[in-house]
Amino acid sequence: MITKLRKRHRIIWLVMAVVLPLLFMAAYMSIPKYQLFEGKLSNTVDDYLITMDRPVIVGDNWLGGELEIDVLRYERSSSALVYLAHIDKDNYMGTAILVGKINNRGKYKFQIKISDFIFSAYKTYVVIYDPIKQREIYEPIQLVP
Amino acid sequence: MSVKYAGVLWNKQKKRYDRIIALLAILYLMLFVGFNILLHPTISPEALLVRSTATLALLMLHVILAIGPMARINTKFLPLLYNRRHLGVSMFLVTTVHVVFSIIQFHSLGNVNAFVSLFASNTHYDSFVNFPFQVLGFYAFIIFLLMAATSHDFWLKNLSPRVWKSLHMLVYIAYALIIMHVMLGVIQLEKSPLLIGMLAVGMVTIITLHLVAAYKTHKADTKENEVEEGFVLVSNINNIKPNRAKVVTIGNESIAVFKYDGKLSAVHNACKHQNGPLGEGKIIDGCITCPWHGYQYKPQDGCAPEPFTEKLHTYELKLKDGKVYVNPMPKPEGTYIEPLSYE
Repeated sequence: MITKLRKRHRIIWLVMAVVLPLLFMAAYMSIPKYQLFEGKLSNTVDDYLITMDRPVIVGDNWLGGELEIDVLRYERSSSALVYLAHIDKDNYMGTAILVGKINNRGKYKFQIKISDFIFSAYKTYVVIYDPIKQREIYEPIQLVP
Repeated sequence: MSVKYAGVLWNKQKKRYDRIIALLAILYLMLFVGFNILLHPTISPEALLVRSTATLALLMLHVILAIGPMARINTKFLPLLYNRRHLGVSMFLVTTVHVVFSIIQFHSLGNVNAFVSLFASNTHYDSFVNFPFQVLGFYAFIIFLLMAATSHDFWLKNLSPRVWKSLHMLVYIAYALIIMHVMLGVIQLEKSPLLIGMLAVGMVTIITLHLVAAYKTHKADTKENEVEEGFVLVSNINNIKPNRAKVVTIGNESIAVFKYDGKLSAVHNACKHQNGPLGEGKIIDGCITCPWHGYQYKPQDGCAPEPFTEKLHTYELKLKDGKVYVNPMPKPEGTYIEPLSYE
């Protein structure tokens, strides 16, 4: 390599040595512990069978249990996040919590303990969300205990 | 080195090297798929394809970026440098599989064009964490596409070595884009400590190798040399290995002094092909042979053997008390200078 080219390489890697680790660390620090859901409504449910076993209900409040999601077909997204939301299906922005992730056909079970949020037993919804396109795959599905 | 362009320049050594690349790639894909099926029985074939090609391409990119500085730090790695172009194109092919299947998987099932969806489905361009990471990967892919498409002597000749090299140095931008594509993408969703750790180790290794190589060459380039009546000291003659060279940098110019058949000759250190470091090559069949792509030059006049037309600057030498000195004033390209005999 000629001297000028070596100098260009040296400058580029000095800059990279400073900038890249900083960006890496910023991205690492930004990994969420849990995610508040903010989204929009769309579509209808026909690919998922959602059931709740052993729901813990105190008064009107639902406090947890085992959520099972049976993915019957798998055509709309290769990867989806599952959220629980409350209030009502048209107004849940900022109130949903991340439960887990579904990838493929099959049954998924999530053990849920709600401590930070109080969910109404009669107004709890499951939201299936595409994190890539950042939108719901289906309209929120109400859980009826 | 060839007088006409061929689709792919293959010789016995490159064919052997390409077979090794193919075998290692297949082995990696098989291991990745096997382990993932074992650990995640419900994983879909589409996800396996997207993830296995992504991690393989990432691994190959790290190897490619490590070869250059490793060859500068230790000349034993020069054979890898000679074959790097094929590894780069192989990495591009693996990346293409990842990109095509990712776009089909994540963007082709909606009612808008897949490429529109790629850029418009996530519009959080003003956010760091929610930045559309797929777009970062796509831009890196465009750089790899340009590099792979021009990884040919036809383009090197017609674009000029300077433009060609500038274009190929975009790989460093692509590397940064890929690191952030992973960190703002899959890492945010899966928080995999293994992936984060491996990516961090890879990144630190690449940066360290480049900085060490840069320091080593900068130190050599800025070394003050003894001057004797207008001639600059190169080295003690015994420090130059037979059929090899000693490089001296004077100002911005780099000169390679070769020792062969009891004689010494000096030429400009940059190969006409791609500015490769001729001084890191050796004399093969009586010709200086560039370690990058095998371009050859006669040491006494700097001319490529017929029918080739490339010519290098040549330099006068003198020998005093076992020390080799070079006149830093270059002779016109292709000027014959009687080799300095030392026996």
